[in-house]
Formats: sequence, structure tokens, C-alpha cells
Amino acid sequence: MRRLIYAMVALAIVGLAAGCNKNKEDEGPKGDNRDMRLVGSWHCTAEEFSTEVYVAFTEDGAFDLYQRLGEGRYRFYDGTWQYDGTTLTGTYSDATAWGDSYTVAYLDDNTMTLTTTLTEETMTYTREEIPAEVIQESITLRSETDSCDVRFL
Amino acid sequence: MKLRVLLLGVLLAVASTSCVKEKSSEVQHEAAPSELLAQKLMGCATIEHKRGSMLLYLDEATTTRALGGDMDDVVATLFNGVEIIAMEPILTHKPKNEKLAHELGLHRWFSVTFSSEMDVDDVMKHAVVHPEVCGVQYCAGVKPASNCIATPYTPNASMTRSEDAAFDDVYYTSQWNLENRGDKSIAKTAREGADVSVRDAWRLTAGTPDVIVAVIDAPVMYTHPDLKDAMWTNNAELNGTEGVDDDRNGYVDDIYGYNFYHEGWSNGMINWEVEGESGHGTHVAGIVGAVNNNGIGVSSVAGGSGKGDGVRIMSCQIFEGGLSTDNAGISRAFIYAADNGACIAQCSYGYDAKTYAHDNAYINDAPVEYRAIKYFTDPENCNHPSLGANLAIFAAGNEYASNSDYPGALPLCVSVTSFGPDFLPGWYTNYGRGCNIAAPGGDNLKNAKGEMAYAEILSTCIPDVVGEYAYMSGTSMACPHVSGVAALGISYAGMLGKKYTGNEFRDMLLTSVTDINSYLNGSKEYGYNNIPTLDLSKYYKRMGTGAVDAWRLLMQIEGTPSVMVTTGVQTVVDLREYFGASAADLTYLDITVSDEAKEILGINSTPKMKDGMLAIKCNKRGAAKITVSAIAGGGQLGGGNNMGGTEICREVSIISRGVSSTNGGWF
Repeated sequence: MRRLIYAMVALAIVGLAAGCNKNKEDEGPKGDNRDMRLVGSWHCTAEEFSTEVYVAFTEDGAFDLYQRLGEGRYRFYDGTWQYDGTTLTGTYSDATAWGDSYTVAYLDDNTMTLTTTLTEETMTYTREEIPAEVIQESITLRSETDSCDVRFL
Repeated sequence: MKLRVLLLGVLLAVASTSCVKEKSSEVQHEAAPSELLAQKLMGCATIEHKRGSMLLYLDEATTTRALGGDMDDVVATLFNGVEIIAMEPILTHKPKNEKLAHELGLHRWFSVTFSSEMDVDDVMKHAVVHPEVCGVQYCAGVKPASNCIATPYTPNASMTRSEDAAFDDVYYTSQWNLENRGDKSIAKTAREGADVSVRDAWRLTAGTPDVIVAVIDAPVMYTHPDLKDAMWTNNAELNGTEGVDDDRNGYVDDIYGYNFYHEGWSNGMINWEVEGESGHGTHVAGIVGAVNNNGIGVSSVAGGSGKGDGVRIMSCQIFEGGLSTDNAGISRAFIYAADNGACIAQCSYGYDAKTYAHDNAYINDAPVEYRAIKYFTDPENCNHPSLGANLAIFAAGNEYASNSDYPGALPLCVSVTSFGPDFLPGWYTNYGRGCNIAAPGGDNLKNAKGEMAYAEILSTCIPDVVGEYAYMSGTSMACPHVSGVAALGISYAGMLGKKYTGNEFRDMLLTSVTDINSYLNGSKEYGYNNIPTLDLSKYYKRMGTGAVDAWRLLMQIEGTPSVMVTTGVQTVVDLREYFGASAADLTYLDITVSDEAKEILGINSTPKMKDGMLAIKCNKRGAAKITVSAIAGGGQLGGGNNMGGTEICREVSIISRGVSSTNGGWF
């Protein structure tokens, strides 16, 4: 009888552990570059800089970034992102590293903040699909040739 | 007593508008006429000048008398004993901006004609002994910036029409100047991208009819199938009575422009049916605005999209049968263009590069023409709501000299150098001091089959001269590319409701460029036709700011993004977005940071420019603007006793935040 109780307790402990592990998988396992909550499209309005940013993070660790700094058209950047469970980092497709790494915090399912590690600058992003006109009218600056590709899709 | 004082006051007032300020009038009758001529000659005595004519600059009082009905009396007084055929004011017609014209002194200039067998100096000596004559000037002609040798269009058997040509104009594929795909049937050394980068720009605009480009040149054949729907049209004259000034602008039958070549001003009809006509003006006009997408002929920079929506061409004829009118006629052309709605003066002509060493030499030698150009470019006479001042765009000249021709070399004008389909200078192009920007002008390059014409510029021409379409080359052909791109820019600014001062727009134009300096090393060999081998290092940083880029101009008009710097860190940022692809090669003059910007960004030390990069340290987060100025064309500014480049200023928006990446990305 005691062995049965011990076995049931052991099973219960194992079950609890499995449940916790399942919760952690929901957040994305440590060492994996995917935070599933991060996946999707986000919009940031930085009024103090007259800037609009749209960014889409994909499950396979890629990102598309559309930014308008002040005037003119949205500029398109892309690259890869990594998340170790604490810190978000990335590299542009031209091999330029992001200027800093970021701490991710979710205020709710549709709102997150990214805070730079070095300077603790925080920007708020809301979940939002990237407007078609932003994508269609954006341009890509090709640094190696210093020309602009028109993204007329 | 009071009356005597009053009379004395009047006399003193009259004296103040006499010639005292311009030239000393004291004891004129005691000096020899030759001495007085030397004193009052406004210009260079050695310049090649026309016979049978001269220009006269009178004091205000005599001007008033002459224009008030006493012309015969004035002539009789000034030229006693000389048979004068005619004396006319430069301003044969009342200018729209009479006040400005008077401020510039244009009303005080007169052209005098006499027998060509008379010695011009002798005639001048009769006039200069009179104190009311403030100055005299020779009448000089100009020349087109092309050898005007046209090659009729023949199909390029090696070339296949591109399936994705931007327009359905049948010769589009032959126009490497609009879209260069590096096709070796054009030239063995053809380089993809050696064009005006206009294809993508056309998606946004191909021109609008409210932009009028005055072609100050040989006549524009306004009946040409590819131009007739692109002509500026004076509808009052078109629908009026022949021989009558229906719109009362002072010009009779000026339907598509006016002919300023004719002496006596009896007939201003644009005329290309004269022996010696080259088709130069028609060719230039076609580059700017031949109708696009009409299924025939050529495309152009700003000829619309096929819906009748291109810019409009005004023909201001200053050449006839290959001969040039004089300074008086050229001046009248600029005044006409300003008074009748043109916002761009497209001028593929000039004085030989050896003629003038600096701005003052030209201004002293051609005071009427200079003031007429100032009249055209004065902000009061601007002819488009998006522009603060009209633009005067000139060819740099074809003497393969290390400086631009005048008037193009003036800071108030834009001077255009020329490159071929290889992105390298045309063998003929002037370069260096006074040159501001480069554009396709063609070259004598052979294709893989040894054929040569295809590397020139294909455009409209006169059928009876050489053919409906023909190839030509020269800075004459480069210049209208810049005029066309400027016209596109003005069109787009109008569409977006944007407005710029004349300098702001010009500065955007001159910084909307693709780099060509990176190609200017080594040599360019021809090996035929006695064309010399070019040492390309001589042209490095001397073709202007770069190759004009229509797409970049439209992007600048949409707005230039801010540059990001990291707060608290000395950051070096690339300013190519503001100063064009050749930003690293410009000579920078100054960086101006307002007190407000210093406060917002926490700037404690003056930012610095080096090789097109801005080194700046902002100690606060925020956004503000600073102004950076540079020289468009060479290492020194023009003006006064200098010939040089034009100052360009750009307002650079700076964002200072806690992070920035070296490629400008947000993260």
C-alpha cells in the first residue's frame, strides 16, 4: 500500500513537472530563438522622433522592418532575430548587427515594450498588421551601390 | 528764390540718375573719343562681335526722352553725322514686371543698327563723347553647345526592342540616355545604369502641363509629330487674327513662342525652313518633352504618360539658319520666357570657355544678357506655385576645357557636363570650374559591329534637314536632360502641394545624383577620328556633383528621412541621402546649428564633415535640424573675380536616441 502511495506521489510530481514544462514551452524554451508571442506584426509610433516603425517577426527567426524617420517613404530592412528568453538581438541582412540588444516585456497580448540594454530606452509596440501601402511604397537603400530599389509590388 | 531752389533741386535729382555712378562724365568733351570709348566700353574689346550693330546704355533722363517720342532727336544728337538705320530699346515690349526691369536697368539699354560696312568702334566714338551715354557694348553672338552634326536615325539591326519598355514609343530601346541596360549594340563599353534614372520616376509622374520649359535655342519644329502635342500654346493668338497681337502681350502671332533672331522685329514667326538650319532646337526640345507613349518615335524625360499630360515646350528662337542673334535678342528671349509663363530656361548655348576667366568678366561684357537672366530667375517672376524662382539651365560647353562656358558658369545658373553610355565623360565636354552636374550627352563610341551613331542621343529633328529623328551629341544634349528632370521635379512638387524657394529646389536638383567619380580613373581610348585619349583622372570630382538622377529628386521632394545618432556617443553618419551619391567628394563649407537645435540635442561641440560623413555628438535624446552647406562643382565658389561652383545648402534632420545601427536601421 505504501509503495502504491509513493508511486502515486511520484507520478503526481512527474505530472506537475510536465505541466510546468508545458507552460515554459508556451513562452518558448530557453536557448531557442523563438518567442512565439513576439511572432507577428507590430507598430511603434515614436512621436518625439516623428517616426513610424512597423516590424514583422516570423516563426523562422526572420524579420521585416519598415521605418519612416521623419519625412519620406518607409525604408525596408530585413534580417534575423534571436531571443534567448531574456534578450532579443538581431542582425540585418547586410550583416550589420542591431545597435543594441533589447529586453522584451509584454503589457498584454497586443502590447509589448522593447528596452535597450545599454541605455534603457523603451519603446512601445502594439500588435498591428503592416498596411499594404507601407509595404508597396517602401524602398530599400542598397548601401553597396547607394541606390534605392523601388518595391512596387 | 524759391523757384530757383526748386529748379536746383530738380537738376540735382536728375544728376543723380545720370551716368555719374557708372562712368565719370566730367570733362567728357575734353577727352579724346578713343579715351572715352575705353572708359565707357562695357566689355571685352577683343571678343568677336557682330558688325553693323552696337548696344547703348543711356542715363535715365535721355531714356525717358527716347521712349517718350523723341527717339529721332536722341539719335540725331548722339550720332551726328552717322547714318543710323534704327535705334530700339531692348525692351521693345513692356515687360510684365516693369518695376523689376527698371531696377535692373534694362529699360536704359538700346540696340543701334547701322551699315555693316561701318567700323563699330568709329560709330561708338560718336556716342561716347556725350555724357548721357553711360556705356556702349559690342553685340556678340553665341554658339550652340553641339557641333550640330546630326545623324539620321537608322534602325539598329543588333538591337531587339525590349519587351518591357516603359513606353510604346518605337525607338525607346535605342534611348540609352533614358534607360541604359548596358546593351553592347549601343556601345562596346555601355554600362548599365548610365542614364538619368527616370524609369522608376515615371511611375510617380512623367510631367504635368503646368510646367513650361522655354527652349532658348534654334527653332522648335512645332509641327513635328512627336512635339506638336507638347507645345506651349498661346490660345489667344492661335484662335485670333493673323498679324494682330490678340493677347496684347506686345508680340504678334506668338502662338508657340517667338523668333528673336530677326532684325527690326517685324516678324517673330518661328522659322526652321532656312538654309543652314541644323535641327538643334528641335532635338533639344524632344529630349525634354517629346510626347511619350504615343506609339511613334522617341520618348522623353518629361513628355507625359500618353494622356497629353507632359510638360510644355515654348520655342524662344535665338538661332536662325545656324546664325545667332546678339545679346539684345537673347535678352529679349529671357524676358519673353519670364513674362509668358516659363519656369525653366533650357539653354544649350554659351560663349567659348576661353572667353571669360571669371564671373565679373562675363557680367561686364554681357550686362544686358546677365540682367535678363536675373530678370528670368528673380523670385518676383516665378512661374510655378511650387517654385520660388525660375531655373536657368545651361550646357557647360564642348571645348574640352577645364571650365564651363558662360553664362552657365554663373552661380545663378546650372551648368551641365556630358557623359556617354559608358558613364565616362564625352571627349568634348567641358569640366571643372563652374560645372555643376552631369547628364547623358552622347559620345563617339563604337558598338560591337563598329557602328558609331548609337552612342549619341536620339531625339526629334527636322525632316528636311536630316530626318524626323536623328542622333546628336554634345553638352547641348546633356543640358535638356537636367531641364527635363527639373521639370519632372517641379511637376511632382506641384502634385504633392509642396513649395520650395529657388535655391532649395536647385540644391535638391544638384544633390539628386548618382556617383560617377568611382569610374573616373585610368584612361578612355577611342583610337579613331583623331579623338584624343582621355586621362580620366582629370575629370575626377570635376564633372559636377554627379549624374542627374530623376528618381532621387522625386524621393527628395517626398521628403528625406532623418539620420539617427546614438545619444552620448560621437557618431559618424552618411549624408548621401542629402548630398547625393557623390557626397564624399564634395567640398563642404559650413555646418550651422541653431541655438534651439543645440539645446534640444545637447550639442556642445560643432559637428564636422569629412568625406561626406557627418561626425556629431548629441548628449540629449530628441530631434532637430542642422544645416550643412557644400559646393556643387569644384573646390571653390564662383562669383566676382572667381569662376567656381554654386553653394548648396541642405537641412539635415537628426534623431538622437539611445540606439542606432551603422546602416540606419531602427533597431
